[in-house]
Amino acid sequence: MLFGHSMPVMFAAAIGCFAVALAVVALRSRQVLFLSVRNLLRNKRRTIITVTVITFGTTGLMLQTAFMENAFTSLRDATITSGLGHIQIYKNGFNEKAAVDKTKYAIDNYGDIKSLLVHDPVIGKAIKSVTATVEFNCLVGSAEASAVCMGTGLEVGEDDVLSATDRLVEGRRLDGAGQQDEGLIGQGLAHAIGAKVGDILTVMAVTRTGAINAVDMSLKGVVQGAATEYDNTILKLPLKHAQQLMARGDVSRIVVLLNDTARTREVSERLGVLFKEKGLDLETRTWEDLAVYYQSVVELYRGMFIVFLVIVLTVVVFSILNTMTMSVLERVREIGTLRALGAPKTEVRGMIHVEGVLMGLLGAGMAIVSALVIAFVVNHLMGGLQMPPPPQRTFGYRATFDLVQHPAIWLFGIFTSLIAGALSSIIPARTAAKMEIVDALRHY
Amino acid sequence: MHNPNYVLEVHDVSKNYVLGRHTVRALRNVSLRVRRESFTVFVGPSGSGKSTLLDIVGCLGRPSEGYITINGEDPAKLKDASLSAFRARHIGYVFQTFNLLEVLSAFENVEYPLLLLRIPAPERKRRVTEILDRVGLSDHTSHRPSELSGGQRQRVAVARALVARPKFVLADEPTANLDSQTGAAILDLMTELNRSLQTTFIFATHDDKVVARASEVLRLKDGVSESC
Repeated sequence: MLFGHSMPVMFAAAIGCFAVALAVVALRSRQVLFLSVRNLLRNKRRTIITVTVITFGTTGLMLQTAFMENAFTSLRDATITSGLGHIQIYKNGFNEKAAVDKTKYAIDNYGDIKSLLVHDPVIGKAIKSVTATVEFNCLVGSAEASAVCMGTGLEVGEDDVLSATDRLVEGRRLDGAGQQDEGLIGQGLAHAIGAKVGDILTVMAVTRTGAINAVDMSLKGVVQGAATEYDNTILKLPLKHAQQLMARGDVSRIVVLLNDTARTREVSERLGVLFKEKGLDLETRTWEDLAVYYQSVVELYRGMFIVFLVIVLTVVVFSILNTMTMSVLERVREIGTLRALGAPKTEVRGMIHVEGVLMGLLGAGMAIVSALVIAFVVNHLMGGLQMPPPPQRTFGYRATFDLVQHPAIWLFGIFTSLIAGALSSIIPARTAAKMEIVDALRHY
Repeated sequence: MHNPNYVLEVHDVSKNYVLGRHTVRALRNVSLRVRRESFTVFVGPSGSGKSTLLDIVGCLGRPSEGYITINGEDPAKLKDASLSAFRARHIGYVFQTFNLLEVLSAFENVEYPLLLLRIPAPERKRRVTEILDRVGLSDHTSHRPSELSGGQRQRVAVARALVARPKFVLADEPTANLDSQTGAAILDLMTELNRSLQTTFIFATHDDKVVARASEVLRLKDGVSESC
């Protein structure tokens, strides 16, 4: 996600600091607060224009953030339900050494492990499905042509859930009622070998003992996944048929799908504890560890977001700075009077800072309202915005502004507005405090 | 050794200003003492240094040489926060251009020095109401300066100068921006308050009508005092 888990807490803490500072000012120097409020009301038009600039900037930032959160969520869910699952379980050492020989790191007690997971009192209810897979490189051939492909043997019936992102282009999905020799291939692969539903294809692979083996596959369906690369290479067989092809009874990995993605880390940690307790030589990887494309997209978007944030913040800060500088220059004699009457420099500085922060607060409030209105219009009245397919993806999606679902965005909006108000008041406050009293009193 | 009869003592004060390549000596070795409860006037033509002297006496600027004491205390050693508090406690100001805070009402303008001194709310209300009544503005407490006449504004300024019960009130040409009738009324007010509240008033002026009311007169010419 755009903001890490600790960011909402940090935003809330920072906002809390501003609130405490304002409260301290209100209690210790009541006159600073009410002079600040009165000064903002002195030139209502200028204050309204400045607050509007803050509102526009903050609304833009909030909507941009909500849009990106939606994009990340869509991409995350597509990634997870493209067969990756939330958590994958392997034999210890699979990820480091299985590139050489996958069969050496296979899991041969899948049934026991599945039972252990689904019946665990801590995480059992969090699990949506557990399925085993066998992966193999293979060659698939039709009457016209043959192509290299990535084969996956999986439990029939579970694939609907695990690969929910896959769209059925032709035919039907694998199910328990079908034949054991039925299979699915990706759309790109189907085009490459000129295959259509109903064709009998030959699937050839090298077994763990080094022998070449082949099985027939009746093409039951053609699917389209989220990625072009997936479409061009994927071949799915029922688990037993794949095990027959590979002459093995074990599985490569176990894929766990959860009801709630937010519990991934918790479940993964629990699995580690369970495996240790039961003496199982297994390791886990979460979808975050495995979804390299997703992580790189998030990093890219984060970088773009920071650039956008800096630009918007700069524009907003300079707008407020301009207004506040003008306001201070119009009040030179008044500032001299305050100082002559006995207001210390800190009080004069504080007054200007409070004006900046109050404008930021007003802008934040208006930004939240306007962002909510825009989000409502787009999400519910327009049904979202149709987005084209991202690079290397095969289909687009309807983007929405996920504002309500992410309180961090609200906090971020408030925090940004307050920071803009505070930053922009630094120079005017310093200017006001540094004035020579005598010169200020005689200013015209 | 501080003499309690004098609220202000100026010891050999000089003030120089650097303007470009030139140094202007606005005050030269001025020494004086202001008696408590007096109505003292610094008089002299334009450029004589009376406003500069008032600035130094009011702790709004520091002398280039010499020092002052207010009620026996030398404010020169104080840092900004302490010096500001010193001004709030001991000195009241009445400016030629009134210098009221435009966003505050008459009541709030007069209340402001008491807020700086952290006077509790009930006491603040009592003092402000009393002093506004004294200056004849009890019917205008909620009016902003833009809703008051020049004379009324100066009355608010006088009330603000007195509300904190300072050691003395400084007034730099307070009637210069008023017509003669209003100016006379303001002078009457200040004279009466000087008597009734026993507050010391120190004026800077070139107006003979003001000089006529003074109990003490200091003449300045070219930065030098001619009498005390």
